[in-house]
Amino acid sequence: MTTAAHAWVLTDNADHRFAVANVEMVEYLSEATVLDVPYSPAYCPAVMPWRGRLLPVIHYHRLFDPQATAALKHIGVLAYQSHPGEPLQHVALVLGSAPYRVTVTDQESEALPELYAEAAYRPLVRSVFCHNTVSLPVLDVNYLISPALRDLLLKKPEAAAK
Amino acid sequence: MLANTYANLTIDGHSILLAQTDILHIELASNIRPHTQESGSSGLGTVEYGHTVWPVYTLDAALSPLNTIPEQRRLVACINHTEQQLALACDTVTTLQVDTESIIEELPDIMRGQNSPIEELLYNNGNLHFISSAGALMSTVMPPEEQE
Repeated sequence: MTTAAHAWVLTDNADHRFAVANVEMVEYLSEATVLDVPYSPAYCPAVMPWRGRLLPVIHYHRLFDPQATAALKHIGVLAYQSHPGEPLQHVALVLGSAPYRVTVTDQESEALPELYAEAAYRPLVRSVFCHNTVSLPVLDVNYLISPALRDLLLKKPEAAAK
Repeated sequence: MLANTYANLTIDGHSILLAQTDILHIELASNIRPHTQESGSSGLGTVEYGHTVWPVYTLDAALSPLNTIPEQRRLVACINHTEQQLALACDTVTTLQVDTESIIEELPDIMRGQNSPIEELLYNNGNLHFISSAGALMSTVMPPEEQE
Protein backbone atom coordinates (compact mmCIF):
# COMPACT_ATOMS: atom_id res chain seq x y z
CA MET A 1 0.00 0.00 0.00
CA THR A 2 1.27 3.49 -0.79
CA THR A 3 0.94 6.33 1.72
CA ALA A 4 0.97 10.03 0.83
CA ALA A 5 2.14 13.10 2.70
CA HIS A 6 2.47 16.78 1.92
CA ALA A 7 5.67 18.77 1.65
CA TRP A 8 6.60 22.34 0.81
CA VAL A 9 8.99 22.89 -2.07
CA LEU A 10 11.36 25.81 -1.51
CA THR A 11 13.72 27.52 -3.94
CA ASP A 12 16.81 29.44 -2.85
CA ASN A 13 18.49 32.44 -4.51
CA ALA A 14 20.58 30.16 -6.73
CA ASP A 15 17.55 28.15 -7.92
CA HIS A 16 18.34 25.09 -5.80
CA ARG A 17 15.07 23.36 -4.99
CA PHE A 18 14.48 21.35 -1.84
CA ALA A 19 11.56 20.39 0.38
CA VAL A 20 10.55 20.53 4.01
CA ALA A 21 7.82 18.60 5.76
CA ASN A 22 4.38 20.20 5.72
CA VAL A 23 4.46 20.92 9.46
CA GLU A 24 7.89 22.56 9.31
CA MET A 25 6.80 25.47 7.08
CA VAL A 26 5.28 28.05 9.43
CA GLU A 27 5.09 31.30 7.49
CA TYR A 28 6.04 32.86 4.17
CA LEU A 29 7.02 36.55 4.08
CA SER A 30 7.45 38.52 0.88
CA GLU A 31 9.54 41.10 2.73
CA ALA A 32 11.32 41.31 6.06
CA THR A 33 13.74 43.37 8.09
CA VAL A 34 17.04 41.62 8.66
CA LEU A 35 19.91 42.90 10.78
CA ASP A 36 23.55 41.90 10.26
CA VAL A 37 25.53 40.29 13.09
CA PRO A 38 29.35 40.46 12.86
CA TYR A 39 31.41 37.27 13.25
CA SER A 40 28.59 35.05 12.02
CA PRO A 41 29.09 32.60 9.13
CA ALA A 42 28.50 33.74 5.54
CA TYR A 43 25.42 31.54 5.20
CA CYS A 44 23.85 32.93 8.39
CA PRO A 45 24.91 36.58 8.59
CA ALA A 46 21.84 38.20 10.15
CA VAL A 47 18.83 37.91 12.43
CA MET A 48 15.21 38.84 11.83
CA PRO A 49 12.65 40.06 14.40
CA TRP A 50 9.63 37.77 14.26
CA ARG A 51 6.77 37.42 16.76
CA GLY A 52 8.84 38.76 19.66
CA ARG A 53 11.87 36.62 18.82
CA LEU A 54 15.08 37.11 16.86
CA LEU A 55 15.51 34.36 14.27
CA PRO A 56 18.77 33.44 12.56
CA VAL A 57 18.48 34.16 8.82
CA ILE A 58 19.98 31.50 6.55
CA HIS A 59 21.00 32.10 2.94
CA TYR A 60 20.78 28.49 1.76
CA HIS A 61 22.71 29.05 -1.48
CA ARG A 62 25.68 30.38 0.50
CA LEU A 63 26.12 26.97 2.09
CA PHE A 64 27.52 25.96 -1.28
CA ASP A 65 29.01 29.31 -2.37
CA PRO A 66 29.88 31.56 0.60
CA GLN A 67 30.80 34.43 -1.70
CA ALA A 68 27.46 34.52 -3.52
CA THR A 69 25.39 37.65 -3.03
CA ALA A 70 23.21 37.83 0.05
CA ALA A 71 20.25 39.52 -1.64
CA LEU A 72 17.01 39.23 0.27
CA LYS A 73 13.96 38.25 -1.79
CA HIS A 74 11.51 36.25 0.27
CA ILE A 75 11.63 34.58 3.68
CA GLY A 76 10.28 31.24 4.83
CA VAL A 77 10.02 30.69 8.57
CA LEU A 78 10.67 27.05 9.48
CA ALA A 79 10.00 25.28 12.75
CA TYR A 80 12.19 22.57 14.21
CA GLN A 81 12.74 20.69 17.46
CA SER A 82 16.21 20.02 18.83
CA HIS A 83 14.88 16.88 20.53
CA PRO A 84 11.43 15.26 20.68
CA GLY A 85 9.26 16.87 23.35
CA GLU A 86 11.24 20.11 23.44
CA PRO A 87 9.61 23.44 22.50
CA LEU A 88 9.55 24.41 18.84
CA GLN A 89 12.31 26.70 17.63
CA HIS A 90 12.29 28.72 14.43
CA VAL A 91 14.71 29.79 11.73
CA ALA A 92 14.28 32.13 8.75
CA LEU A 93 15.35 30.90 5.34
CA VAL A 94 15.93 33.28 2.42
CA LEU A 95 13.98 32.09 -0.62
CA GLY A 96 14.22 33.03 -4.29
CA SER A 97 10.49 32.60 -4.90
CA ALA A 98 7.26 31.69 -3.16
CA PRO A 99 7.06 28.11 -1.83
CA TYR A 100 4.47 25.64 -3.09
CA ARG A 101 2.97 22.49 -1.63
CA VAL A 102 3.18 19.04 -3.22
CA THR A 103 2.01 15.53 -2.40
CA VAL A 104 4.69 12.93 -1.84
CA THR A 105 4.23 9.15 -1.81
CA ASP A 106 6.56 6.71 -0.10
CA GLN A 107 7.37 5.03 -3.41
CA GLU A 108 9.18 8.10 -4.72
CA SER A 109 12.62 7.50 -3.21
CA GLU A 110 15.44 8.83 -5.37
CA ALA A 111 19.26 8.95 -5.30
CA LEU A 112 21.06 11.77 -3.48
CA PRO A 113 21.53 14.83 -5.77
CA GLU A 114 25.17 15.58 -6.63
CA LEU A 115 25.04 18.96 -4.84
CA TYR A 116 24.98 17.08 -1.54
CA ALA A 117 27.76 14.59 -2.34
CA GLU A 118 30.31 16.18 0.03
CA ALA A 119 30.37 14.76 3.55
CA ALA A 120 29.42 18.11 5.14
CA TYR A 121 26.24 18.38 3.05
CA ARG A 122 25.03 14.77 3.10
CA PRO A 123 23.27 15.00 6.49
CA LEU A 124 21.25 17.97 5.17
CA VAL A 125 19.15 15.47 3.24
CA ARG A 126 16.70 13.28 5.15
CA SER A 127 15.31 11.66 2.01
CA VAL A 128 14.80 12.37 -1.68
CA PHE A 129 11.65 12.23 -3.80
CA CYS A 130 10.84 13.02 -7.41
CA HIS A 131 8.41 15.75 -8.42
CA ASN A 132 7.81 16.64 -12.08
CA THR A 133 10.99 14.73 -13.04
CA VAL A 134 13.10 16.78 -10.58
CA SER A 135 14.79 15.07 -7.61
CA LEU A 136 13.94 17.01 -4.46
CA PRO A 137 15.89 16.50 -1.24
CA VAL A 138 13.92 16.77 2.00
CA LEU A 139 15.86 19.06 4.32
CA ASP A 140 16.93 18.15 7.85
CA VAL A 141 16.32 21.53 9.49
CA ASN A 142 18.03 20.43 12.71
CA TYR A 143 21.28 19.82 10.85
CA LEU A 144 20.90 23.06 8.87
CA ILE A 145 20.89 25.03 12.12
CA SER A 146 23.54 22.93 13.86
CA PRO A 147 27.01 24.09 14.92
CA ALA A 148 28.26 20.80 13.40
CA LEU A 149 27.44 22.02 9.87
CA ARG A 150 28.93 25.45 10.62
CA ASP A 151 32.17 23.90 11.88
CA LEU A 152 32.50 21.63 8.84
CA LEU A 153 31.90 24.53 6.45
CA LEU A 154 34.38 26.78 8.25
CA LYS A 155 37.08 24.21 7.50
CA LYS A 156 36.50 24.73 3.78
CA PRO A 157 39.02 27.23 2.34
CA GLU A 158 36.40 29.32 0.53
CA ALA A 159 34.56 29.91 3.82
CA ALA A 160 37.00 32.64 4.82
CA ALA A 161 35.29 35.29 2.70
CA LYS A 162 31.93 36.64 3.73
CA MET B 1 23.36 38.80 32.04
CA LEU B 2 20.19 40.82 32.50
CA ALA B 3 20.19 44.49 33.32
CA ASN B 4 17.60 47.26 33.13
CA THR B 5 20.06 49.80 31.85
CA TYR B 6 23.19 49.16 29.84
CA ALA B 7 26.20 51.28 28.96
CA ASN B 8 25.92 51.77 25.20
CA LEU B 9 29.24 52.08 23.39
CA THR B 10 28.93 52.86 19.68
CA ILE B 11 31.56 52.00 17.10
CA ASP B 12 30.99 52.77 13.42
CA GLY B 13 27.24 52.54 13.86
CA HIS B 14 27.32 49.33 15.91
CA SER B 15 26.06 49.40 19.45
CA ILE B 16 27.92 47.37 22.06
CA LEU B 17 26.15 47.04 25.40
CA LEU B 18 27.93 46.40 28.68
CA ALA B 19 26.60 46.28 32.22
CA GLN B 20 26.90 49.78 33.60
CA THR B 21 29.06 48.46 36.44
CA ASP B 22 31.61 47.29 33.84
CA ILE B 23 32.47 50.92 32.97
CA LEU B 24 34.79 52.40 35.58
CA HIS B 25 35.66 55.66 33.85
CA ILE B 26 35.27 57.55 30.59
CA GLU B 27 38.20 59.50 29.21
CA LEU B 28 38.54 61.82 26.22
CA ALA B 29 40.36 60.19 23.33
CA SER B 30 42.50 63.32 23.09
CA ASN B 31 44.13 62.15 26.34
CA ILE B 32 45.40 58.92 24.79
CA ARG B 33 49.18 58.72 25.06
CA PRO B 34 51.20 56.95 22.39
CA HIS B 35 52.01 53.34 23.10
CA THR B 36 55.55 52.70 24.34
CA GLN B 37 57.53 49.53 24.91
CA GLU B 38 57.25 50.18 28.65
CA SER B 39 53.46 49.93 28.41
CA GLY B 40 54.02 46.19 28.11
CA SER B 41 50.91 45.36 26.10
CA SER B 42 49.57 45.31 22.57
CA GLY B 43 47.42 48.41 23.16
CA LEU B 44 47.29 51.18 20.57
CA GLY B 45 47.97 53.79 23.24
CA THR B 46 47.31 54.30 26.92
CA VAL B 47 45.19 56.43 29.23
CA GLU B 48 45.68 56.97 32.95
CA TYR B 49 42.97 56.55 35.53
CA GLY B 50 43.22 55.78 39.24
CA HIS B 51 47.02 55.80 39.19
CA THR B 52 46.91 52.98 36.67
CA VAL B 53 47.87 52.83 33.01
CA TRP B 54 45.12 51.43 30.78
CA PRO B 55 45.98 50.02 27.33
CA VAL B 56 43.54 51.34 24.72
CA TYR B 57 42.10 49.19 21.94
CA THR B 58 39.41 49.76 19.35
CA LEU B 59 37.37 47.86 16.79
CA ASP B 60 36.36 48.43 13.17
CA ALA B 61 32.92 48.29 11.54
CA ALA B 62 33.10 44.47 11.57
CA LEU B 63 33.98 44.59 15.30
CA SER B 64 37.48 43.29 14.53
CA PRO B 65 40.52 44.81 16.30
CA LEU B 66 42.13 47.78 14.56
CA ASN B 67 45.81 48.72 14.45
CA THR B 68 45.18 52.47 14.66
CA ILE B 69 42.57 54.59 16.36
CA PRO B 70 40.30 56.42 13.87
CA GLU B 71 39.53 60.09 14.51
CA GLN B 72 35.86 59.45 15.15
CA ARG B 73 36.70 57.48 18.30
CA ARG B 74 36.27 60.45 20.64
CA LEU B 75 35.88 58.65 23.96
CA VAL B 76 37.67 55.88 25.81
CA ALA B 77 35.82 53.60 28.23
CA CYS B 78 37.94 52.03 30.97
CA ILE B 79 36.39 48.61 31.48
CA ASN B 80 36.33 46.64 34.70
CA HIS B 81 37.91 43.23 34.11
CA THR B 82 39.32 41.50 37.23
CA GLU B 83 42.87 42.80 37.70
CA GLN B 84 43.68 43.38 34.04
CA GLN B 85 43.16 46.77 32.44
CA LEU B 86 41.22 47.18 29.22
CA ALA B 87 40.10 50.44 27.64
CA LEU B 88 38.03 50.65 24.48
CA ALA B 89 38.01 53.70 22.23
CA CYS B 90 34.51 54.32 20.86
CA ASP B 91 32.52 56.99 19.05
CA THR B 92 29.92 57.67 21.74
CA VAL B 93 29.03 56.39 25.20
CA THR B 94 25.43 56.65 26.36
CA THR B 95 23.01 54.47 28.29
CA LEU B 96 20.25 52.27 26.95
CA GLN B 97 17.12 51.60 28.96
CA VAL B 98 15.58 48.17 28.38
CA ASP B 99 11.79 48.39 28.02
CA THR B 100 8.99 45.88 27.73
CA GLU B 101 9.19 46.01 23.93
CA SER B 102 12.84 44.94 23.92
CA ILE B 103 13.74 41.47 22.70
CA ILE B 104 16.81 39.91 24.33
CA GLU B 105 18.11 36.62 22.93
CA GLU B 106 21.25 34.59 23.34
CA LEU B 107 23.30 34.63 20.17
CA PRO B 108 22.26 31.47 18.25
CA ASP B 109 24.96 28.79 18.42
CA ILE B 110 25.58 28.78 14.67
CA MET B 111 26.30 32.53 14.76
CA ARG B 112 29.02 32.31 17.41
CA GLY B 113 32.34 33.19 15.77
CA GLN B 114 35.74 32.69 17.33
CA ASN B 115 36.77 35.71 19.46
CA SER B 116 33.43 37.39 18.89
CA PRO B 117 32.65 40.05 21.48
CA ILE B 118 28.92 39.33 21.08
CA GLU B 119 27.23 37.22 23.74
CA GLU B 120 23.59 38.21 23.39
CA LEU B 121 21.40 40.29 21.08
CA LEU B 122 19.02 43.04 22.11
CA TYR B 123 16.43 44.40 19.67
CA ASN B 124 14.90 47.68 20.71
CA ASN B 125 12.99 50.32 18.70
CA GLY B 126 14.07 48.87 15.37
CA ASN B 127 17.75 48.73 16.32
CA LEU B 128 19.94 45.73 17.03
CA HIS B 129 22.43 45.99 19.90
CA PHE B 130 25.19 43.56 20.80
CA ILE B 131 25.43 42.63 24.47
CA SER B 132 29.01 41.95 25.43
CA SER B 133 31.10 41.63 28.58
CA ALA B 134 34.56 42.65 29.72
CA GLY B 135 35.79 39.09 29.25
CA ALA B 136 34.39 38.77 25.73
CA LEU B 137 35.87 42.13 24.69
CA MET B 138 39.20 41.09 26.17
CA SER B 139 39.29 37.93 24.06
CA THR B 140 38.46 39.99 20.95
CA VAL B 141 41.06 42.73 21.28
CA MET B 142 43.89 41.17 23.25
CA PRO B 143 46.26 38.47 22.02
CA PRO B 144 45.83 35.23 24.05
CA GLU B 145 49.35 35.48 25.53
CA GLU B 146 48.43 38.80 27.19
CA GLN B 147 45.17 37.60 28.70
CA GLU B 148 45.35 36.67 32.39
